Amino acid sequence: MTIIQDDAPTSSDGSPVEGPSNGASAFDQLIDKVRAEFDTQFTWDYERGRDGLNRLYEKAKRSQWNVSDDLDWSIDVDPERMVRLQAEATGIPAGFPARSLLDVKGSPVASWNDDQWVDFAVKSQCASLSQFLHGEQGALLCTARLVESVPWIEAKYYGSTQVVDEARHVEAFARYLDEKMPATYPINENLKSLLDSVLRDERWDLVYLGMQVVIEGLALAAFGMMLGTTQEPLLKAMLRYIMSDEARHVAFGILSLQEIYADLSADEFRLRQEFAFEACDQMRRRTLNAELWPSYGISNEEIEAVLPDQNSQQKFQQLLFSKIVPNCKKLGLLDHRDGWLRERFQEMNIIQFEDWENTAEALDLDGPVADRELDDAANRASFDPDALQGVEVIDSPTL
Amino acid sequence: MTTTENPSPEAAALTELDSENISDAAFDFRSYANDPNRISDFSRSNEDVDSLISVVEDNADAIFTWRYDKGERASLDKLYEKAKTSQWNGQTDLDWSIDVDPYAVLAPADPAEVAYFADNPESPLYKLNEAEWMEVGVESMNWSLGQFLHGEQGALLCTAKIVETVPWIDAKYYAATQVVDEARHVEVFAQYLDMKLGGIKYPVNTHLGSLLDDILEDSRWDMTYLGMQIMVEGLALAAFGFMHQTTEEPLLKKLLRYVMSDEARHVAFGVLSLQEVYQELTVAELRDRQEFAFEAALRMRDRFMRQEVWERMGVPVKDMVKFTLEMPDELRIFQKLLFSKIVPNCKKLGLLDAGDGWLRDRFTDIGVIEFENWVDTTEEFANLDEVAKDREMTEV
Repeated sequence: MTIIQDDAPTSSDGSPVEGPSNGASAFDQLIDKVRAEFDTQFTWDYERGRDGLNRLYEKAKRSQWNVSDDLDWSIDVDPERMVRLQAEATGIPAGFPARSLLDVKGSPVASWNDDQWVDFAVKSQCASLSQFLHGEQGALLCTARLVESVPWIEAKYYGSTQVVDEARHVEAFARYLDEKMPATYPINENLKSLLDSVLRDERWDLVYLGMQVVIEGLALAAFGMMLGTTQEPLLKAMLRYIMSDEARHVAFGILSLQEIYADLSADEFRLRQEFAFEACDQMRRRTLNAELWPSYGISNEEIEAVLPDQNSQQKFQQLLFSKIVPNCKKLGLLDHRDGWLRERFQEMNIIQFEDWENTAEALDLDGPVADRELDDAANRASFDPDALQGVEVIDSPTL
Repeated sequence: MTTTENPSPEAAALTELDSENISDAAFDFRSYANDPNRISDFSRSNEDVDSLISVVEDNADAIFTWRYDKGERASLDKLYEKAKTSQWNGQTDLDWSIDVDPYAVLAPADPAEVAYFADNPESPLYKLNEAEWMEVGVESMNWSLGQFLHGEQGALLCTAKIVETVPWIDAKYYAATQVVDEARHVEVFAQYLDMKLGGIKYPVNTHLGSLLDDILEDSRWDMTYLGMQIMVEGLALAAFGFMHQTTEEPLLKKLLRYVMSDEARHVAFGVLSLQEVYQELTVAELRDRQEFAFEAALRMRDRFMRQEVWERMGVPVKDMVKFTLEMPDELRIFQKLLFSKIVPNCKKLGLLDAGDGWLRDRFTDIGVIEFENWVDTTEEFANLDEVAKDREMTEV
């Protein structure tokens, strides 16, 4: 696999390489350790009394798929052609949303032509897929952690299927990047520090909230946007399968947390609200395409300087929260006590998603696992390019 | 485990070992390993039947790897691909409508072994009547399957830990499939006990529980492998095989057959991974692993003494353990067979003969070295894939 900034040590024996674990330069070494202290819990109550989780477990068993067999890896992918086709089909210019910086006064990309934006769009696609890849590895570790620490047998059963789901997702993204795309990028600092703080937390219900609701919710929205816009058949099939797994994962978080939250005190609840807000805020603070600008001789500070005026970019980013907000509402986190989290989400301009379909309701737990159902699951979570009308990009003068 | 207040007897013996000089200590240790008086003295049953959870502190580092090259370790990659296609469903691949008579599940006992316990005036089981012997059988079956169940939960937690702590992507992938395998095993043993044998009557055996705790507490990821994948799983493979051969109950027979085909992969995973790790270790580090393996072996031998069954039936536990250990060598077939997978796998890993052959000497002391040339699991796991065989049969 080609790794940008490929100056990592070349030892292949996997022997632990010591290094900073703050994520600041995570890719400078081959591995990255997160120190965790938490309780592993055995449960001696093997009675399967939580019906929602039982049904989710049975569904997960029937919904397994195989990266090696169920996707057609013989499909040739030409990244540039993929980007141009996508622009034609969706009417969204290559390089969006960064491309809207073209019109900003003093923008460092004011002189870029279409070919440059196509090049940028290919790299941007690599960067997005790379973050998906690293995020899935984080999900793999967090879910294994949950299997160890959750005290309910039904959650250990279901969680185990999610561990193998996450391994499959890492496998799929890694293979796609390796075989079909020109580059893989290191993990984004904000994502890494969020994953680290989730992994370091000793309270298992916060692992649920951070991983299953916030990170998986973001992923579901981001995968949906990519699925809704890409024309590349292999990527489309892959995302469709992955999203049908992710919908179960978010549902797992909601079903479990609803039970836990029923017993929390007001103070404990407030702590969860703050955790959810901080996680969302951390993800929102990611600079647009931060991995890419330096390779064009442009610093992230220059980009930050012209960003605040860019309404379309912000709205695009807000859409990423379209799964998290309704799920937080379903959990009672939005309006608990003084509605603290509702106010925060208002300030972030993402409260408008509160009545969108939440993930637990969207999932048919007992239905057959047919191809059609995969489509339904993906469509429900998918993203309609027409929604971009509201993001005011279609009248971009470059079209 | 919070329910265990005292250090395990075997750990206590090892501590004792450290405090004496080497030659005396070796002698002393051998005497613990084989002395029925001392073993029975340390032997205890788990009387805590009320706790709903037990807690073990995990201090290991979770490890991200940034090397995503799948297949860099070809044998692990092959194992991963095999595991993906060998998944089965505890609900739909077993026929739960089969009625089970708890007495019919029992294997016919070895007459010579029965005679040893029934006809010897010094035996704690001397003069049990027919009904009481049946009860011993039924209780022992429930206890055995209960220990398999608790052991599988330990395996579930240990394997989740391996996913977090191993630095190789191929191992993380494979271990993920093992997590879902172990969940399935917990599921089917729990369901079998619940639906067919009147419920889960026995808590985890003290000796098994303390071994699981030690494995989970150790922050070195290769120790999790050695403890769980080689020792616990290796012993399970042998014990399941023994029960599978002796029971005629069709549901249990098929259940064990399927569980075993998974377990064989798990042991192979351990051997393949540790072979690579051990190449880099010093003699002193290897000795650590040898001692860990031997201590685990003793605990597992001690865990098969059915202490909780005797406690429940009002039979003096220590007397029973002692009497069992004094059984003539030719009757101890089952106890020895339990090690028939562990010994060849330890040999394959180079643990038997590392340094001065310390582990070979210990396995010789406890009379199980005879298995060293039996087939190791990296060679036999493919033959044990019963799930694949059944599917091929169906297709034909």
